Amino acid sequence: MPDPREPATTHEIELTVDATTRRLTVEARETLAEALRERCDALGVRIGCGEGHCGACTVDLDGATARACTVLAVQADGAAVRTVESLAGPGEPLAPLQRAFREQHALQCGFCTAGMLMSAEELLRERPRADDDEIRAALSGNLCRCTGYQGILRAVRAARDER
Amino acid sequence: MSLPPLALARPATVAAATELLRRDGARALAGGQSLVPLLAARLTPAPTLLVDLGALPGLDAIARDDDGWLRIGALARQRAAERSPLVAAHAPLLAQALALVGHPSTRNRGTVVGSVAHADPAAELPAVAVALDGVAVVAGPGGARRETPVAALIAGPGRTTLAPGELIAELRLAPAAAGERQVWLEFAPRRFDLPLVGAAVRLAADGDARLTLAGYAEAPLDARLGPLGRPALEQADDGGGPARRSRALDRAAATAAVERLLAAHPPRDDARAPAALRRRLARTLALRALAKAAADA
Repeated sequence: MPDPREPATTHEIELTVDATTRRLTVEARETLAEALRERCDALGVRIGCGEGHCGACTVDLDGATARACTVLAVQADGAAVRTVESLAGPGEPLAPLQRAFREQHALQCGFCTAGMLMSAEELLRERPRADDDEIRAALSGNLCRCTGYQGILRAVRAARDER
Repeated sequence: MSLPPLALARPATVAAATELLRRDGARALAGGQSLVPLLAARLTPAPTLLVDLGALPGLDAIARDDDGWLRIGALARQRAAERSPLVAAHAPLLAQALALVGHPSTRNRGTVVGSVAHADPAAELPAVAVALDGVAVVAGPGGARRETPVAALIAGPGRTTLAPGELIAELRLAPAAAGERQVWLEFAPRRFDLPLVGAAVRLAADGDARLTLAGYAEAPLDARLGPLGRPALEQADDGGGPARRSRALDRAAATAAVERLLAAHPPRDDARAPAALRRRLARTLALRALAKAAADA
């Protein structure tokens, strides 16, 4: 196995993606978002801008949200990644936050939704009684070009009140 | 892939990192929240070697020295500093500014020191570091160590006086003095965007004021405005609570001092904002921050 301490254009990493451990050979320049989609079939991770503006690729990285396109795959060596798929498995009922998004019309095209859900999940975990200002601040890094955000705010409030 | 081809190394010691950083085309990577987007957008010359500092041990501390100064390690995340009781107690300016740096998901990854080293003229943290008399503890090849004020470290937009092979191991910040008030205010077209202008005010208990501006000039503009308020008076709280400090800001003196400072330093003029807007924002934010510092009790 190559020594990660020495300069190289490819590196071997090990990470956990939605509870499955993966050993990967990645390029040094490869982002975590690219590795998740192309090497781990984690297609719930959306790449919107790919440059750290839109938040569509937001995942949970070792217990805190991160934009997967601004993290190099190499930097996630040894980490545990959770994508939107972790909120409810295949065939399982939607998580309360996901259900609220559907009921409150918090999505149209849905491209931003996975990232929105991960940011909102972190907020409600850390601040179960978050007020509107805190919800807006928590979602400030997630752009939606369809909804005008009002449905998203309603959905996060609804999920909060359901707890 | 978004990023240009490059090599990467993850050294395990500061000594190895400084040796790697001596190489042509090498660049340090910490949280990556400024650098990786720039590389993905191909807006910066591609380094041939990224030296990822993430595996260096012991650099993520936020602590307080015997002399009271705050020590923030090179790998301490912005989110950790934002939540640190030490920062809240001794560097309220930093805590206030951090709440406006990027977004939760970027603060979870981005480091305080990395943002200072990135030296974006509009960014909050370089200006805050200057305002708090920040000193960079710089590690260099061969175990060399030197200390340099952040004001001398920042050479211009995206430029520092770090030599090849050097990295900032730690940032030291002066603690707030007894009775001092610190206020950060900024204006961004959208909240949480990089501000057009940000203003840091430190108002001492004796009324002496200091102003540091982000986004106004090519580097943080830092100036002592002199005495702008009457010394704090002890007043009994109306509700019979503990004694409250209040001080009156001399508004005419404050306005004159801010206008004198801005007149002596032409603002930046670029695609984000014309010079006239920056000057007006700086004046407004500085006076509001001074008033808030004086009113905070």
